[in-house]
Formats: sequence, C-alpha cells, structure tokens
Amino acid sequence: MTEEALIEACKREERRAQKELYNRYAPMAMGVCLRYVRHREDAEDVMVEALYKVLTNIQQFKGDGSFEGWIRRIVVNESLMFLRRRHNFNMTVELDQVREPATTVSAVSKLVQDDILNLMDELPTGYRTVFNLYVIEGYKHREIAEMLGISINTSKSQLILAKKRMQELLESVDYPGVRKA
Amino acid sequence: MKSKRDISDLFREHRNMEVNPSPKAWRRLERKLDTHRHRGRRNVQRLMALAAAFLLLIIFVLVFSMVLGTMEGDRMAYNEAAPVQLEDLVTTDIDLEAYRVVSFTHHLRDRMAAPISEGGADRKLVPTGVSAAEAGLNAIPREQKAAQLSEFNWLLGRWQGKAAGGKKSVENWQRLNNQNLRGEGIIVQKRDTTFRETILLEDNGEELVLWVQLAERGRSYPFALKRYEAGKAVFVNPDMTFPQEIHLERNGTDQYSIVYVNAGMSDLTAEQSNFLQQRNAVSLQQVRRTLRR
Repeated sequence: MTEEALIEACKREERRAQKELYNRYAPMAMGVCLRYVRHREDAEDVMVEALYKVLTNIQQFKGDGSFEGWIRRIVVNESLMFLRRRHNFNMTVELDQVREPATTVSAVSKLVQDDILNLMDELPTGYRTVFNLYVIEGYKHREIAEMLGISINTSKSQLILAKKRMQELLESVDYPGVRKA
Repeated sequence: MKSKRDISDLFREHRNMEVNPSPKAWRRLERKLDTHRHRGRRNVQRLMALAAAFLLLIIFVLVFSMVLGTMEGDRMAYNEAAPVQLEDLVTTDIDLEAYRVVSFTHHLRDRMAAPISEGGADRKLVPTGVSAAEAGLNAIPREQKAAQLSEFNWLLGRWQGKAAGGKKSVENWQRLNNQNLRGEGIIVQKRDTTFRETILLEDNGEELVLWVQLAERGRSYPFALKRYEAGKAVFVNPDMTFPQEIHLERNGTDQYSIVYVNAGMSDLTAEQSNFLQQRNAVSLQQVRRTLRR
C-alpha cells in the first residue's frame, strides 16, 4: 500500500490500515521515545499515546510535508509532555561556568544502538532532553527554550553539560576512538 | 588521516534507530481506538438528539405563538370591554342618515358618561313627548336656540392659513344638509395631504353643536352653542377639562378664528397636543387658528 493510500484509509478509520501504519512507524516511534524516556515501559506508554494521537488526528495531515516527519514531531512532543509532568526543566546554570568539552572521535568510531541508549540513560533528564532536541532532532536553542519553557542560555548550558557528561562516560570506559583533544 | 568529528556526530548517525515495541503495545492502542470510535458515535448521536430537541422546541414555540395569536384575535373581536372608538367617516358621498346615527351615538355616549343630575323635587326628567303639565310639573321655560345654522353660512367655502413647520393649512366648509355644516381641514405638503381634521356644526333640533377632534383619527367632542353675538360664537362643554369653550370669531368677511380656551392645557395627552399644534398657535391659555379667504 502506498503512503497516500495508507493515509486515506486511516482517515476512513479502517482498522487494517491503522495496523499497517502502526507496523511501519511504531519501531521508529519507540526509538525516539527511548531516547527521551528512561524506562522502557514508560517509553512504550508514550509511544502508544503518540500513535493514538497520530491516528485520531490524521485528518489534520494535509500532505504538504513528510508524513514520517509529522509523526516524529508528534512523538517528540508526546515525550516532552511526559517529561514535563515529571521534571522541572527550569535549571539555571551560568553559561560562563561551563566550557565546551574538547573531545575528538575518530572517523571510524561508531556507536552501536545499545550504546546510544545506555549513554542516554546515564544523562540527567534535562541534559538528555536538550541533547536529544539539539543534536538529534536538530532544533535550535530558541526553539528548545520555547518548547521546554526555559531560557536560551539554560538550553545552551544544558547542551554543553550533556556533551561533557557524555565525554566523561565514553572516556571512562575507554570507548574506542574517543579521546581528549 | 583521522578526521575530527564531534561527539554529537556519533549520536546523529542513530537518529532513525528503531526498536520494536512489545506485542501488547498494539493491543493497547487498538483498545484506545475502539473507545475513540464509540465515543465519536455517541457524540454524533448526542448532537443529533440535541438538534432534534432544539427543532422540537422551535416548533413548539411557533405553534404556541400561533395559537396565542388566534386566541388574542378572538378575544379582541368579542371583548365587550375593549374600548370602541368610532371613526368619523370622511367621504364626499356621505350617508347622512348613518352620519346622524353615529353623531347621535357620540352624543348619547357622552350623556351617559356624564348623566344629567336629576336635581331637586321641583325638577324631574320626563320622557319625550310628555309635557310638563302631563307629568304634573310646573312648566319649565325652554331655552331658545342661541342661533340658527343658517347664521353660520359665512363659514362655507375655502379658507387657508399657516400650519406647523411653515406648511399650508386649507379648510373647506360645505353644507351637507339642512342640519349639518362640515369643515375639513388639511395640511398640504407639496401635493400630499399630510394631516386631516374634520369639524361638524350640527343642528340637532334643540341646539347647535360643534363637533371637534382633539386627535387625528380620534373621536369628536361636542360643544353646544351657548351664545352668538357680535360675530363671536361661544360653544361650551363643561364636562371637558380642555377645552371647555370653543370660540368661532368672525373677523370681517375674509377672516375667521377658532379658539380653544380655558385652562387645562397640561392635561392634554401628547397625541392631542401634537394634533392641536398642527394647524393652531398654541399657548398655555388657548389654542388659536386664524384662516383667511
């Protein structure tokens, strides 16, 4: 089934099409949620809620952008809503107290998927969220500040701290290809 | 040669990582979708029920209004207590007999509203046709009529004067029959008649009565001629608050005035006040209209 046909069928609330959409995009959605939400059970709850919103609001998708990108944004928003209910993002850290870590990685070093998730789990919620939004989702600090209700400086400092923490973690296990600059 | 990469690059490469959810995830999602579908159907049913109830309410209100309107119309048609206002018919082809009946009805109603006091033992009302002697009463001197209708023939013809707002007032008197002279006063604006007033001078056999309106399309009030001398006729109605007297004053052959006198201007209704101001000069003491040939 083409993506357009799938979308139209979901708009008609055809259960078969809804299952098909779930099969196609649930793994991606689960991967996104696991980066934001620490516990797997919670991440799955968030994923189910996010796809429920996708399927019940699919009429709003006009087809003028990427369908996967649309789903991803809903999943990210649902993840952030989950985090906001449990965490206060208003942590103020003076930017000039934090320095960008100097780390280099070799061109051949790679992180495997499990490493990603394990490293993410080690980060505090605030660091992890900003890191996800900036590094992986590609949002700007101004947008992150608006989404989380924090200042731009806080967003920047959280990112630096996240990277610093990440570096420490990688160095602590002598991860191949990662060394101080 | 090793190229430098940021630690962020390591994570970006896994942007689209996929992780399979547990099998129960779909079942949970499916249950939520079923609930959503049922809720949607219930909402539609609820909306339809609301719409139906609203439509019934509208129909009920319409039917109720129609029934009320019919009942009100019936009540008004048969309600004897409702005030009856006889409109003076103003046509050139007047049915004089009918007019006399209407005039008599006016007169009778006025008399009934203000019955003549019987007075002392030496005075007694007797039926028409029964003489005082037959009734066992001393003869009561009968007042002579103050004037004859023919003495007012000078009214006949066309008169004109000023009206409110600088408009033109025209009054045309004509003889209807041997008992009635009728004056029709109108205000003309360009070619349209914007105001109409009827005055009747009636000889009812006993006295001359001047019937005047105090409101457009309103009833006429009777004023009996009390005296007529030196070109001035005084008509009175002591039962009226205002006016109690109406004077017809003849000023030469080309001019006459009609004057409503006596206190009580403040008792006039707004409609009456507005009516009188159309063709007359109004002051606290009197209302005067002067017309010329």
